[in-house]
Amino acid sequence: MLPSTVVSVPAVLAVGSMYQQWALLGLLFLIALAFGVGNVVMSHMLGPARHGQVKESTYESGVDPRGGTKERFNVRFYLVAMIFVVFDVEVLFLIPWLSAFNHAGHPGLKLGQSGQLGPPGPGALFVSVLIFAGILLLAYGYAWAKGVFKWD
Amino acid sequence: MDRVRRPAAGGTVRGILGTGATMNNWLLAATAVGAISLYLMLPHGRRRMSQFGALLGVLALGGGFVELGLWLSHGPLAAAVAPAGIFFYVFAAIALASAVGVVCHPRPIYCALYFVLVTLSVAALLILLLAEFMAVVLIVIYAGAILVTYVFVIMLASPGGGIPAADYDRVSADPLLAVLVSFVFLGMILQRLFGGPMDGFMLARAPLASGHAAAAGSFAGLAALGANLYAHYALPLELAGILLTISLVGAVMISRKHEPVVRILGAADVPAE
Amino acid sequence: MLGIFIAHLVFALLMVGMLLSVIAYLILLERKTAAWMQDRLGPNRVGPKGLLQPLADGVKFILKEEFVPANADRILFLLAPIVIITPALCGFAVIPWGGVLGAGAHLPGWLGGWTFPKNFSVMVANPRIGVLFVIAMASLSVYGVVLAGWASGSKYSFLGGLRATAQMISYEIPLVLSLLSVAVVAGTLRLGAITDSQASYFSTVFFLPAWNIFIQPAAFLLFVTCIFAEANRAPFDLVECEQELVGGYHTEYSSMKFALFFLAEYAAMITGAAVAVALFLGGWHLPWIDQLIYPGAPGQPLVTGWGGVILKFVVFWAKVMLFIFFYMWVRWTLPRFRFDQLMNLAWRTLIPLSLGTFLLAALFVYLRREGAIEHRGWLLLGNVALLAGTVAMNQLWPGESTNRRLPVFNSRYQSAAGVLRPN
Repeated sequence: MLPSTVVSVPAVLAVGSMYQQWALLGLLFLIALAFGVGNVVMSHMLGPARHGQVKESTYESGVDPRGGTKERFNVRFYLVAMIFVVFDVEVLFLIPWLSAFNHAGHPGLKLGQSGQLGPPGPGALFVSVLIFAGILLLAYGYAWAKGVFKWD
Repeated sequence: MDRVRRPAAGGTVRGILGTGATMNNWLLAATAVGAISLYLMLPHGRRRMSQFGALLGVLALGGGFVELGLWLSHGPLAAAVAPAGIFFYVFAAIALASAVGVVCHPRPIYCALYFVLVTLSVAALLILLLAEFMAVVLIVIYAGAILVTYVFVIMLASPGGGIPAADYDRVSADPLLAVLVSFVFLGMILQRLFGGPMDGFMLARAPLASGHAAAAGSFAGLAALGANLYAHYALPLELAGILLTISLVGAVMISRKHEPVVRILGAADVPAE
Repeated sequence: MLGIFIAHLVFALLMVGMLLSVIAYLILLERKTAAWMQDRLGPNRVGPKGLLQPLADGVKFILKEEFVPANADRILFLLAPIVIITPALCGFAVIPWGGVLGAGAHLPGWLGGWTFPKNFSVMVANPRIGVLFVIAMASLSVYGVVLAGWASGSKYSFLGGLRATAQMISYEIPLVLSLLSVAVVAGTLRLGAITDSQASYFSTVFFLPAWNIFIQPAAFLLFVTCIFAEANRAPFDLVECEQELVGGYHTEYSSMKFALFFLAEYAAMITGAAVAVALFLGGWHLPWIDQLIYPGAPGQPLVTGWGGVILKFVVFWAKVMLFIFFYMWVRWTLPRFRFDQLMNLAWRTLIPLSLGTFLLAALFVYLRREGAIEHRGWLLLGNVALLAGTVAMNQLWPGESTNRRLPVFNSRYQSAAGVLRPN
């Protein structure tokens, strides 16, 4: 399926619909970006701008601001982010499984570096994902037992 | 003199490269110039030098890209890389420039944001290779999860607006050594890819080929990845799961060692009764 | 090929325009709904019944003063609204708004009469991993919140941004898992294909449409809860709860920059509602009379002409609007969660439930492939059992009470006697 000849401009659209889909998504991204930038620039240009010391001070419900934002915050927020990374990676590992499971047993599904092995059946894939989910549950249970999810 | 190696249009590069041709010296030179420019750009505190370094970096990048483009457009890979066209260079340039921003910017939060830009442009490069699953997962994991953690840590550790950054943020610790190590490593990769026979490129071609194969059926590339992960490489996969669990144990250990001194959200300065 | 590409691009531009104008009116709708639920009149001065209010708001937003606090990080402060609106306006790209327009359909004469050379999916783009694209855009939307909170240099913004980030990442995992539960049964990650798979009926006896909400109610509940949290909507809006944090991460913002945060929130609402409609509520499918009103070519019932596409588009948007009304209804009905309740709900209830839902769906697909069971009703049964089990667990589990008294010093709520003052 590799194209044998050099594709003419706009080449990125011509390799099939895949590039086309992503070119559209990329263009939409640019449109959205332009919308955001345009609005910020426009309000910068059109709106009035009057400066003042009190006006530009931080809003703290009317009183003079005390201290800065360099307050240390609870380490729990960091822990939530860490645990989120772990769970996110594990959950995203499920997506290729989902796709493989859908085609399980299909002869087109080749295994190994050179595709020398036959396709796995749904049973093998299911057991494999059960073990993977079991490990995920283990991590979850550990975090629960350690009181990570205890917010108070 | 090495440019002789690249024949006029129509010649076969493969034949020449296949007979043990050596490193592409022009790419190596561009790499070396890039190393010097990065060294100059790394924050020492001398503004003028970093601007000169940026100029040099642009030159190195442009030269390297021209060389790469000429080389690729005549090689056996010409047809395979043609669809990506100019977009490869655009996204690669964005990725490299943002990567320079990551290591050179004195404010950590900007470094993290440059890192997000690197992630996005590398995701675009993966899409050009038709590896869209990898691209989106890169965004979700790196931009959406890992860098959020970074930003949390930065918010935890660095001052807010107006206050100048600390010395250890503004000045890089060991610029010479870091540049040397990383660019020697880059040179080795380039040597592997451009110096020897073409099989190094099989690495880069595999997802492209599988993507094209997948374009025929419905997401066969992703399905093949999943089948290989969960059936053929099941044990490494489960080990990866265990590794993730261990990292979670580590995170819990680090952060739950002591009761946090500061209570949540404003009830901070309440003394113990 | 290029023609279809341009058609998609024009469609994208039209949808961005439509989205923005719908959002303007959603804000009016929100205010009217609030007024209606609180027995007030709501905005009624600009135009008949206040219908021109969005226009006035827009002009006001543009002409109001742009303001950057002295304490803010100027660049990031200006960047944050851009960063939040960009993914918010991209998420809708993979939504299948109106099925497929058959090849040979052509534009009306006054638009040039161009003929579609091949089938046109009524969506901006249809990548093979559409569900993942939605997830990626949702995960990128965290940045605008973080940046706004950090760059403002205000404590309210900082705390709001912090809470928002923790909330958004906590609810992302059950969100992803609930999407995957649907995808594993449908066997695809394309939103269009998942929608099409719902255009049938549960069985020959019950003429219940085979929408995923009726097949996997647990996944639907999870998804709805999570998109409420991801969009920072009530009852999960403690990111910007005005009693504590004034405006949360956008406290310091004014003029169009503030409007961009508002637009992003509503765009996220619409995208969330549209994904819910596409994945769970049958998309364009109108039960019982679908065969009558979507006249497709025989053998290709999903591909229709202009009439069918427009009808599907209208049906889809009607469902989206109902769903958005549901958002508003909830906002003015349910009280706000406390932060510990929010985190407990995500980590202690939703994540195990979502993992269970996913494994249940996987088990169902496995058993179906093995030929042990055939009917989708088993999955419904399993989901109901899972939900009942979760509720029962929450009742029976010896939970520790998180409600405890904290001394409130120097406050008018301080009890009169018996409490030590500091120093």
